[in-house]
Formats: sequence, C-alpha cells, structure tokens
Amino acid sequence: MIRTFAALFLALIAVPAAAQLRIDITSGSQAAMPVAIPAFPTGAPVATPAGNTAELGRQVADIISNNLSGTGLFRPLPAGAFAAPTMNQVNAPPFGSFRTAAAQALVTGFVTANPDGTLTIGCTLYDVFSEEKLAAQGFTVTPAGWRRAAHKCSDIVYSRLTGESGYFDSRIVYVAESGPRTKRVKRLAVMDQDGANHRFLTSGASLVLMPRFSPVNETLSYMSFQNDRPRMWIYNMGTGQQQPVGDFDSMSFAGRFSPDGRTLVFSVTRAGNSDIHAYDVASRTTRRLTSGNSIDTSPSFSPDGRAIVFESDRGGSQQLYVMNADGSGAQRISFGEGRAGSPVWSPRGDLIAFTRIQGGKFRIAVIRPDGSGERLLTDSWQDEGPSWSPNGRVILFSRTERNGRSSLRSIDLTGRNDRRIPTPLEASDPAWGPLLR
Amino acid sequence: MTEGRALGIAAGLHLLLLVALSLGLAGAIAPESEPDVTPIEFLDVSDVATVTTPPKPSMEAAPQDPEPPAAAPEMPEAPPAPQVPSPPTPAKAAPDVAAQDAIAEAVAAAPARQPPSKAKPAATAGQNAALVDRSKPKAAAKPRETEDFEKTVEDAIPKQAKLSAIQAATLEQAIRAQIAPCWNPPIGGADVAEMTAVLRIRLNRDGTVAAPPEFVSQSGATAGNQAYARAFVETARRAVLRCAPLQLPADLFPYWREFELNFDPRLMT
Repeated sequence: MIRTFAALFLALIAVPAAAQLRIDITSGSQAAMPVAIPAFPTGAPVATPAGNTAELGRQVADIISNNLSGTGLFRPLPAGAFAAPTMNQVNAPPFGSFRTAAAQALVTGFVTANPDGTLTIGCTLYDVFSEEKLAAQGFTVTPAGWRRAAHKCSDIVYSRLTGESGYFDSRIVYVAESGPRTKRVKRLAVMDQDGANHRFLTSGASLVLMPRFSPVNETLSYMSFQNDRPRMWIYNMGTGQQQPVGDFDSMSFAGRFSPDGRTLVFSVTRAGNSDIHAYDVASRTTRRLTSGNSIDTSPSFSPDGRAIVFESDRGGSQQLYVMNADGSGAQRISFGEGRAGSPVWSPRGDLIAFTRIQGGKFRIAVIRPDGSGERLLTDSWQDEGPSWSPNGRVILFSRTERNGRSSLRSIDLTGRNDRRIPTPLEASDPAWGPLLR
Repeated sequence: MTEGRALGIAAGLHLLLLVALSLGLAGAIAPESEPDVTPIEFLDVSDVATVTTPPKPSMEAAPQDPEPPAAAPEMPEAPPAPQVPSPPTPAKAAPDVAAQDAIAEAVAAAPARQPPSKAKPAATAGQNAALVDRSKPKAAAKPRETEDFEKTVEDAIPKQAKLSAIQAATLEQAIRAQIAPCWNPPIGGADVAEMTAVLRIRLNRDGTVAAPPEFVSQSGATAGNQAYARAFVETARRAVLRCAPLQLPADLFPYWREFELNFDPRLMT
C-alpha cells in the first residue's frame, strides 16, 4: 500500500515544475515617498562669501527638501527623525536609523570650501532598503552659485527616482502686477523656479505682456504697447539687445519660440482677423502660416518642431487645431462642450495643455495631440495660460480669484498637487524657461 | 442786453475751447513724428542677466577632505536588518547582470532543497504524519528533527497540486493587500500606461525575503525610456522590501515560498 503511494508520488514529482503563483499588483499607494534629507556635512566650518559651510550644508538640504516636496511625489522627513551623517558617513551612512525613520531614500553629500574660493557641493542618493548608492555627483561652484548646485542635486535625485528628467535648475518669467485695478502697473519679472533670486526686468512705465522664454538660451519674447504700437519684441537677457519682430502696421502678439529657438511664431491682427506668422530670428524674415477670416492665435510648436498647435474660431467657436509647421493640414483636435484656448505643447510631446472655457469657468486641461484623452486638471474660477516645466511634468498657470487677485500656481499633470508659487506681488501670465546650462 | 453779454461770453469760451483743443491735438500729434519702433526700457540688464556660472561637475562625488574618509570601511557596519540581508553585490535595477548573479549566488548558497526522501512522504500532510508515526517503531533510522520533518512534509506536497480556488484566492488576496500599499508606482510618466514589471519573490517561512527580488521581465521598456523603466522596476523592488515580512498563512508556505508579482499600474492612470 505504502509502496503504491510512493510510486504514485514519485511519478508526480517527476513532472516538470508547475506554473508558479503569479499575482497582479494593479493598485498602489499615491502617497508621497518618504525621503531623508539631513543637513549636508562639512569638515570644520569655513567662512565663505555665501556663509559658512556648515550653514550652507543646512541650506542646501533645505532647498532640496523644498524642491522635492514641491513635486508632491516626495515627503522629506523632519530633520529630528535621524542624526545627520558626518563627513565620514557620507560613503557609508547608518542605514538602520533611516529605515527606522521610515525613509525610503537618503539624500546626503557635503559642502567644502576650496583654496581657490570655490565651493564643492557633493550629492549622493541612496536606496535605504537595498542600501544601494543610486547616484553620486559633485559640483564646483562660485559662492554666488551655490543654490544652483542644490537645484542640480535635486534634479539628480528626482530624475533617478522617477526616471524623468529634472526641472529644478530653471527660471520663470511672468508679469508682476500692482496698484489699483484702474491704474494697474505691470512689470516683467524673472525668478528661479522656487521663487528665489526674484528680479524685475522692467520699470512698469510701459505696458509689457506675454513674456516667453526661448527654450535654448537667455532670450525672451514679449509684447510691448510702447507708443501705442502693440507688437512683438525679442530681448536677449545676456546682451541686453532688443529686436522688434517683423514690420507690421497692426498688432502682433502671442509669440512663442520654436524648440530650437530659431523661429518665433505669433499672431498678427488685421481688421478683426488674425493670422499666425513665423519669424526667422536670424534672417529677420516673416512668413504667414494661416489665412482666412478667422481668428487664429496662440501658436505653439511640438517638441520635434514639425507641428504647431493653435487656437482658431474657424469652425464657429474657439477651438484647438494642429497643423504642420509650414501651415498646411490643419486638423481640429478639441471637441466637447465649451471653448478651448491658449494651447501649449508639452516638451515631452505626449500632451497639450490648454485653457478649457466652459460654464463661466476657465480651467487648465490637457489633451493628447490626436485629440483623445482630454482631462481637466483644475477646478477654480479662472485658471488660464498654462506653461510646461522643462521636463513636461508640471504645468504653471495663473489663477484669478473672484476678488480679482491673481497669483501663479503649478499643478502636476496627474491633476494633483495644486500649489501656489510665491511671488512678492500679484502675478499673471507665467512662462517656464528651459533648464539652465 | 444780458442776452448780448451771454452771447459774447459763449463766443469767447468757444474760441478758448477751440484754441485749447487744437493745442492739445498738436501736442498729441507731435510724438507721432518720432520713430514708432522704440525699445522699452529694461532695468539693470547686466545684473539680471547673470545666471551664475554653471556648477561644474566635480569628480569629487564623495568628500575628499579634510581627512581621508577614515578608510571608509568597505561595508557599513551592517545594521541589524534580518529581513533585508544586505546583498553581496548591491543589486542594481532591472536587467542587471550583477543583480542576476547576486541572486544566482544567493540561490546557490541556500541549502539545496532536498528531494523528498523516498517512500516516506505520502500524498497529504495529514496522512504523512500518521504514516511516519506508525512506521516509527520499526524504523532503524534515527528519529527526525521536527524541522526536517516539516520540510519533508512541505516538499512532499506536489508542486503542481492545485491550490483550492478558495486557498488561491485567499493567498493572492493576502499578498496583494500587503504589497499594494507599499508600492509607489511612478504615475505620470509618459510611458506609464504601457509599462509592467514582473519580479520573482522568495520568502522565508517567517515572511522575510530570502533573496533580493529577482527581475523576471518587463513590458513597455524602449530605448527612449530606460531611465523610467529602471525607476519603475525599482519602485516594485522597493515595495517588496518595504512590506516584508509578509504575514501569510503558514500552512500554504509551499505555495508562497516562491512566487511572481506582476506590477501593472495601468488601472491607476
């Protein structure tokens, strides 16, 4: 009897290994990832024009914490939850204490002053659970540039953990507003992506609107009302040079650079009809891309430079269209209730952000370039003028409250993390610049 | 009389108005003769333009001074981490040869699973126990240790013996319920809708991981999204390590000693 059992059993054993249990994990946590970002250690603190190195080590960690928490994807843990590593521990951190604090990743590094007056800021990212060093990079900076090293470190951490490129070492240009409604003063202002290094670019004596960064260099396009001649200009922040765009006897506006920075597309209005034009920055020549009796405006290039999305009322109401870069083959992509305006193509290419106007509300939305997958991201009274972060992940826009106050905000393309970007005055019409070089 | 005066005043006022208007008009017209292409005035350009010199990548990714990092001990004094056996080779992400090797080593190093000693085991655990008991008096062999016995029993269960539907559902449910809350999928990536990753998980009886989760396969990875694909697999590995030890029904250990997890966020996007 037993033998029979045994024989049977052996026969069964001899069958090749059966299929393993395989389980689909189709849901997960949307909670932000806890990250430890203790103060960056230094050796003996050294005084530098930017402050002493120990204090800089704290501030570098603060900037990285602020950048990462601002994404909504990471949750920097309070500094008291663990001891900050010493210089000797940067290469061999005590992972146990960070695991105890429930951190999943550890960002550390160091700040040292060099004999030639520069600073070296090191940046290392660890996976706390596997104890693996995921990334390490050092930066040598002038004391004035230490914040950029902190932004670069943030970009390294962000891109290693999300697999997307970073966006922290970048700037924002916008219109700062002050004064009573009837006598509003509007000034162009530029600042780091986190609000630091804020500067006004214009005095407010003349009205300047619609600032847009070139994706490749320190150049802005803007619209000026100087001498009651509303028209487009290009301004090079490096040289201070200004260049009028084309020569039109009527209003030109809504400019935006091509991905290579060589072309500026914009609208020209004549007798109630506006058409899209392309201006070659080097040769200063202009050609018209659209024609007809409709209002065609707000052009924005695809990241490969081959197509342009714009808004037009040619079909009866304001909607989005995509055409080839030479102006041919326009196809409507937005349908549904309400109107659609101010489209901007994502630098990633997969989405177009725009303003959905519907039921008396202006809301930020995204849509795929083929017109599918429209999603509303915000739900406020008046959100408009979207602009993408350099990595195509976050959308900057301006929000006007019912009391008339306006501010800058950003939102993740998933529709989460609607947050205010701090500005000293009221603010509107923002544009995100490229990653700095 | 008064009428005449009124007329005079009115005429005078009109004249004044006319003069004022024409002067005003002239004033308004005058600037038009200026070139209309006037750049606006930008403030302190030199100051504004300064983007600080770009941070230069430094070879010093780790501190060099002031003191050489105390001959950084090769391995950090391994913190007590029973459930995360510090991997011999830092297992990298996804299709990583080093990781595979590390896992292979780990597997090789693990005591080879004994094939069930002949004859003894029977079809089911219950019967088996009875059989062993009964055979004991006659057996010349020394008494087994309980652990060995347990192992024998486990091994005796044919691997392809199907879990009952209820058992399978319970087990899947238990694993899913513990892994999912620990998984932070990188939602929002451009390619997230197409991406999945399969990991092989090996657990100890106490639910701790017996080896680093092993990469099995991935869909949706392309030449253009390698960084994202790697980060994606890492989130899956992290989920397993974070959630260990898993609490699973002990009697089903043979079924969850080794299994595969397919991480698929498509329903979340």
